[in-house]
Amino acid sequence: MEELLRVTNLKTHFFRPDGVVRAVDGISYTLNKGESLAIMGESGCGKSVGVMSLIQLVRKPGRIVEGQALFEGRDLLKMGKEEIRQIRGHCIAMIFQDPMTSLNPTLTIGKQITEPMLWHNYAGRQEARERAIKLLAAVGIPSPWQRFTEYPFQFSGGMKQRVMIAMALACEPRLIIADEPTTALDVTVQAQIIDLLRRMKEETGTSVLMITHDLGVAADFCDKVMVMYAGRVAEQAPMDEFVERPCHPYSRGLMNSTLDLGRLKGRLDPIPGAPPSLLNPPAGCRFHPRCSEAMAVCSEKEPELVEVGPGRKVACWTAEKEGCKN
Amino acid sequence: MLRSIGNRLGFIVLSLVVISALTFLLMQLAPGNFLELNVIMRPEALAGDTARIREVEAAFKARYGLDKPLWQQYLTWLKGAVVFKFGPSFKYPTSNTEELIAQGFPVSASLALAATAVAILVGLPMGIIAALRPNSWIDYLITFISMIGVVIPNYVVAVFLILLFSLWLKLLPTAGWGEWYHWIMPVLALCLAPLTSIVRYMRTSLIDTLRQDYIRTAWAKGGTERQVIFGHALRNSLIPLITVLGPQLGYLMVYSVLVERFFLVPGLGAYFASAALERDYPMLVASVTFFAAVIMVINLLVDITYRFLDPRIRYEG
Repeated sequence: MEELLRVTNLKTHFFRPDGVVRAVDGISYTLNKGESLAIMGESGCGKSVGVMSLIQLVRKPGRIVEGQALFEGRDLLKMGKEEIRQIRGHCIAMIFQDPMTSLNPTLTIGKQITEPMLWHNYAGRQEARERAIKLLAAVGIPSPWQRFTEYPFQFSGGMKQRVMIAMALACEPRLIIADEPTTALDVTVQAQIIDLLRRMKEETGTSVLMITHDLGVAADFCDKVMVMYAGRVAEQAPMDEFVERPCHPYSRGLMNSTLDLGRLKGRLDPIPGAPPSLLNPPAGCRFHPRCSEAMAVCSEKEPELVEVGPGRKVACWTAEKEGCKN
Repeated sequence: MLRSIGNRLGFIVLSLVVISALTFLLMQLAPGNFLELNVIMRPEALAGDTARIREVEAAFKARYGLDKPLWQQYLTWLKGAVVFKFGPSFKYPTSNTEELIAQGFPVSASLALAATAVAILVGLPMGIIAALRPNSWIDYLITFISMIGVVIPNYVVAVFLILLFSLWLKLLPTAGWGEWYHWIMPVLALCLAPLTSIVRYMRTSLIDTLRQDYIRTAWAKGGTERQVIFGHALRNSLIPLITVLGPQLGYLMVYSVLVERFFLVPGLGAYFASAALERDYPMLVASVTFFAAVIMVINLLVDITYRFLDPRIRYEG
């Protein structure tokens, strides 16, 4: 498979008056064409900042301090303002978490969907209009020619997210970044949106980076997974292997704290404590204060991300010692 | 939409009736009256001749209908007001009040419009620039200038302008009306207050809008600065601004008393101020009612403008 994106040692820090917050602190991963990668982890572990960095959308006082993100061979992080602008919405499109606030309330849906096509000279006015209506129909919005002239407040939450997806697809991007695309929606609507995303992905062959808390969604949709903890990568694995035997204690914790009605294996087993402050993360492995398997070395030295199998990497001393157990 | 405008107009008429009735009542409570202040108090005019004073008083009351009970006076006034006839003024007995308003209002209104136009043309760009570079030196400079505008009242600005343009630079006459250059100083003096509030509101509102999620979406779609700021942010940040702008314009139209006096502008200001001081009742009721009408009509226009800026209001009817 052909490689689309290779991120190496990405670091994005926030320079606040009270100190430097290392929101993303050296993450690396690759994504092939047509592949989809789930980025998982608790709130505040740097998932969003990590993907926002790719198209240089991190706000002040955040700054990308190090790293490389090769997209089709070009480094996104080194691009100038105009160069990255031509990537945004054209080659890499985003779907945001909250469709309620992510659409401009005073512009028509039609205008907002055609905009990226016009801004990137993807299509002329008439052509863009026709394509927008086709896209609205494709994402399952009834009577699209009529909805084209309506405003966001006339759409329900699920419909708005469909519009966001149509907007992201407008210029046939090679990569779609979906930042928790279903978190703000009703459970019944969530499944529809994931179905829609999958269909669109299969039809267009685009690659997807999907941030999610929801293991079910991730397992259902993605080919591989990357678990992040406190700005670092804890584990990377092909999805089916990961679901079968998660390697990092944190991954297992995530899995045990997920409600699984299919298995009904009894009580939830949440991870104790809260993620550490990224202002001064704990020494050694950042997860060790919450880890049930912590050893002496864990509080002293930070584990490297090591390969434990084909496409599998883990940053944990237990894995370093005895390979991936379970 | 037409229906709701109709409702609003009905409400405005009703309010005007209440406001004028209240003014009628309150005027009676104020100590002194026009006759005492202007005729009887001047000893040389009637020389303490009690019979003559009575005679004058009776004639005055008969002429203006003041001998009738209060409610009858009000109804008579109301009947005239419906067709915009407010009767003669006490102070200018040969002119009807509505004629004085009709003379003064166009002057005051065009002065206020000119001042507002200048305030918008200068204030909006200043506010936008400050918002786009928050906490930069240019932002601090603009904020500082607009703070000065808040602190200094317009009559002080007027004096300063006269010093600058008339005494030092000798470019403009100190006062007068009729030529284009007579507009310069009153407009400058009047525009400062609305200008500074436009700058501050525009800055805050735009900074707030630029933080919204949908602006991030616009960036993520690949918009240039111009497309994102002017196409997405500006329109939405104008909505709160219009709320402050409307009443400002209303106040300028009617309450530019001091500035108009300074520069001898024949606007409404002078009439209104003296009407209250000299108990010129017809003028007072007419001016208060007229002022209320101006403010309410402007607010109605503001609400109509909202509809064009914000589709959510437009569709709610």
